[in-house]
Formats: sequence, C-alpha cells, structure tokens
Amino acid sequence: MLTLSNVSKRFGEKQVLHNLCFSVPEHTIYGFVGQNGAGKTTSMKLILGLIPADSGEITVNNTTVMFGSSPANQYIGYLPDVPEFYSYMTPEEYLHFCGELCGMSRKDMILRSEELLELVGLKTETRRIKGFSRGMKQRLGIAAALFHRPKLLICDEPTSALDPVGRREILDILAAAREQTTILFSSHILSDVERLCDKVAFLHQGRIVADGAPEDLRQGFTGGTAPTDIELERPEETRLLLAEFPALRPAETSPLMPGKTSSPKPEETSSLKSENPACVLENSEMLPEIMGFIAARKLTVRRIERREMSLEDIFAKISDMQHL
Amino acid sequence: MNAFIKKEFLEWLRTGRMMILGSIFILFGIMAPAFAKLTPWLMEVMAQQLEKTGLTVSAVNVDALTSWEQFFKNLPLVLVAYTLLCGGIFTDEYRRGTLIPVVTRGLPQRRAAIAKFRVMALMWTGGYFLCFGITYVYTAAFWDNSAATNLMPAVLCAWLFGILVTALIPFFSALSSSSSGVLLGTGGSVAVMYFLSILPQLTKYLPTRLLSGMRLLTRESTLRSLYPAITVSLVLVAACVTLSSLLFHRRQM
Repeated sequence: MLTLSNVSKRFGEKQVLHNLCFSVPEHTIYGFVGQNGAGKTTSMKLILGLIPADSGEITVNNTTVMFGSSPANQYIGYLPDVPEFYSYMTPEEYLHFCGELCGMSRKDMILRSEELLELVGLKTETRRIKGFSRGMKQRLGIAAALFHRPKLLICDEPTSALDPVGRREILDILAAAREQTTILFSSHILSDVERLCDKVAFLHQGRIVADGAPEDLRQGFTGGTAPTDIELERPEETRLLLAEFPALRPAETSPLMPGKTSSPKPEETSSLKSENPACVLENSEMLPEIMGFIAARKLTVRRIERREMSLEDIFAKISDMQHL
Repeated sequence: MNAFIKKEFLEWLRTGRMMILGSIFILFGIMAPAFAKLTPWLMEVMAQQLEKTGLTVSAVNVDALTSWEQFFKNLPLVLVAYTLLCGGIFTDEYRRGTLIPVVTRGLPQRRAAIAKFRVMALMWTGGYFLCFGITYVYTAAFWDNSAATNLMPAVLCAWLFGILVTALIPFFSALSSSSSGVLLGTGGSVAVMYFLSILPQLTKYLPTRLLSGMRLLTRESTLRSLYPAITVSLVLVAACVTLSSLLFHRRQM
C-alpha cells in the first residue's frame, strides 16, 4: 500500500531522513516509533506531498507522491496530533465540506457522515466545533480522515495530547477502522503502539534501526532467552537460593533495561537486597532444577515470572545502542 | 474549488466579517450625503462662534458634487478598514493549520488561494456598490445627480483600485506568514504609489490616480487620461494573482 524507497530530506544543515526505506502492506496497522525529532512527522509530510523530498520515491497504492498537488492524496486520510477545524461549522457541516472536496455525491455524504459520527460518538452533537474538547476534536478528526474511504490512514501521534480516557477511545476507534483501511500510526507512547500495531518500525535520527512484528522484535532483542524473575516470601530464602545456584543473581537490574546493571551505592544495594527478596535467572534451562529445589525445601514463592521485553524496553535498548 | 468557495462564504458570514464589512460600507455610504447635507448647518454654527473673533463666514452652496466629493474622500478610509479586515484571511489558515486537511484532500494551495481571492473580490464589489448605491440614492433625494458627470467611470476606477488592493493581499500572504506582514506589504505598496506620485513623469501611470474620481466629475480630467493608470492596475492585478498562484504552489506546509 505504501512504499518509501531511499527517501532523504534535509532542513538546512540538519539531515532529517537518510535513505529511508520501508513498506506497509495492505490492512496492516504499522507503528512508526521514534523520539521527538527522529523524523516521524517529516516522513508523514513527505507522504502527503506537503513538503518535497530531496531524493527517493514514495508511492501510495502504486501512485507516485508529488509535492504541491499529489495525486496519491486521493487514497490518503490524515489525522494530525492536534487536528484543527473551521470552528464555526458543526461536525456534520465539516464532514460534508470534506466530502465535497473529494467529489462525493450528496447522498453518499449524508450516509457516510451518519455512519462515521456514530462510530466516533458524535452523532448527537449539533453544536459548532468551537465548543469541542480536545478529545472530541480528535474523534471528529478520525471521522474526517476516514470520510472518503481512504486506502491509507496516516495518524501522526493522535493520542499524545489526550488524557487516558480519550486515548483509549481513539485506540478503540482505530482498531475498529482496521477492517476498512491500512494505518500508519506514529507515536512515542509505546504502550499504544504495542496495543494496536501489527508491525513496528523504530526510527532513530532519520534511519530505521529495527522493524518487524512486535513479537519478532521482542524475540530478536531477548535472543530467545528472556530472563525469569523469582521472588520468594523471605530474604533468607532468597539468600539460600542464591547460594545454591550461581546462575542466579540478585534483582538489582533496572527493570527498563534488562542486561544493564545499575550501580547503586553500597548502602543502597544492601537495603535493596534486604527489601527485595527477588532474584533473576538469565537462562531458563536451570528453571526446572530450581523449582525442584524450591519444592524440596518448601520455600514460599511469591512470584515466578518470565520477563517479556516490552517495546519500551526495546526502544530504550535501541536508543542506548545508538548512543554508544 | 466550489466547496472551498462555499466554505469561504460561510466563514465570512459566521465569523461576523461580512456583517462588520457591510456595516462599514453602509456607514460610509450614508456619511457622504449626510456630511454634505449637514455642511450648511455646521458652517452656520461655526459662523456664530467665529463672528465674535471678527471673522465672517459667507453662505455655503451645497449640491450633489459636495456629496460625491465626500464619497471619494472617504474611499481611502474604507480601503484601510477593508484591508485590516482581510489581512489575516490567508495567514490565519496557515497559523491554525486548517488548510492542511483541505490540501491533503486534493485541493492544491494555489486553487485555495484563488478561491479566497475571488470571494474577497466579490465582497469588495458587493460592499463597494452597496456603499455607492446608498450615496447615490441619498444624493438623488437631496440634490440632482446629473450635476456629476462621468459618475460611473469615476466609480468604476475607484472599484478597480480596490480590486488591486484585494490582489495584493494574497500576494503578500504568499510571502509572509503573519497578518502584520501582509498589512505592512499591502499598505507599503500603496504608500510607495503615493510617494512616486511626486514624480510628474510617473503620475499618469500610478494606480492611486484611480482614486481621484472627483477630477472626472468636475471635468478637470478625462477618462482617456486615466487609461495608463487603468492599464497598469490591470497588469498589476494579473501579475499579483499569477505570482500568488505560483508562490502558493511551492509553499511548504
């Protein structure tokens, strides 16, 4: 549906995108993740033909994107982070205006606006957009973006300016829109990306440094051996376990960056150990043996948990690797 | 483009811009004959006060020409009000980002700019002729409009100058991102035209000459003498619209 081939963009001295290449298959929700300034919004503006690319080619539904008047825009719906509307219009008037711009018939506009205002929960809103909350504007933005049945919906950080309830509503609506369209979803709220996206690309300083399905990324970054946390009820039990199994280590690792040991002061370490009766097993091969030991000694288990890497962990790890 | 033109009309109506502009045109339309009608009374009041200082004021004859003189004198003020009201029409859309969904739905910026210019030109035309109509009716009621020769050519010349100001607004909006920049550019251009009028060899070409309609009414000048200024104005309007279209096409959002 969307392909970027060797796309580069420079603003003055700053090279924002370096030979960016990726493609989004049809009916996929593709997460576009990166820190502020990584080049997410620039990429989206290039896809929309709002700014010209220095080099490379972008195609949407096999139509080449052109700056100024892009024929590919007929296939695209766009939802910015803070959508702006003509505040003197009602939601229905605005949607009809969008439909007229796309050359839709009056009958289709009426049916489509009813359908979409119902989907975004604004069907009963007859007042002008001027009095709308940010969440309502975002929902109307989705309705407007989907109005002409685009083949590709581009969402530029659509949840970043919303409260948790508003975020959840938007994610539910986008999940429902998956049936109708392909979605390119940029965000730095990684829990949103994790919840919604089939595929994720990590953009760092204008380059894609990792991409794939969230599950594959987790697998790739943990190397198939996710650490296991073992937490016992009493610290003396933990000490016993640590003495018996040298493969175990005390849980003093930063939870956001597995594998990277924090360096607390000596007094902090001892207090941490005394308060946190947990340990970590890096290789799960030893786990049956450890569990046998726990059962034999009747140690009290509070928690045994395989620590899955979240996208947030991967993102932190990537950022860390790039800075080295 | 029709959808955008329709949206522009709705915007003029619902933001109150149409009402404000209409009120200004109506006010100035009434002011010209009212001022002419009140002039003898004002002079009489002044004469009584001035008599104490030893100055005498003779009787003042007022006719249709006094009313039209006031009409043409008021026009620069009307144009200033109109420019202030329209200066932010383009830049506000860019500042608020409301044009992005329009452009991403396939309407190129240059066509949006032309649509805005058309609506502004229509508003100027409607308002200006409302103002003229009011002055005409009142002047006809109080005096005899036949005293004003070449009235329509004089009125049309001033209208053309308004169209030129209207064309300057999108041109400077394509160059500047703030409404103050647009106002400065538009006002500055008119100021430069006035400034150049001190050079006798340039006077007949300057569009500001189109505002001196009274000279036509009093037969001090002929319509033919205004042809160079009319031609320059038409060329400038076409140039501003074409350049605006090109500049908006290349503008990054």
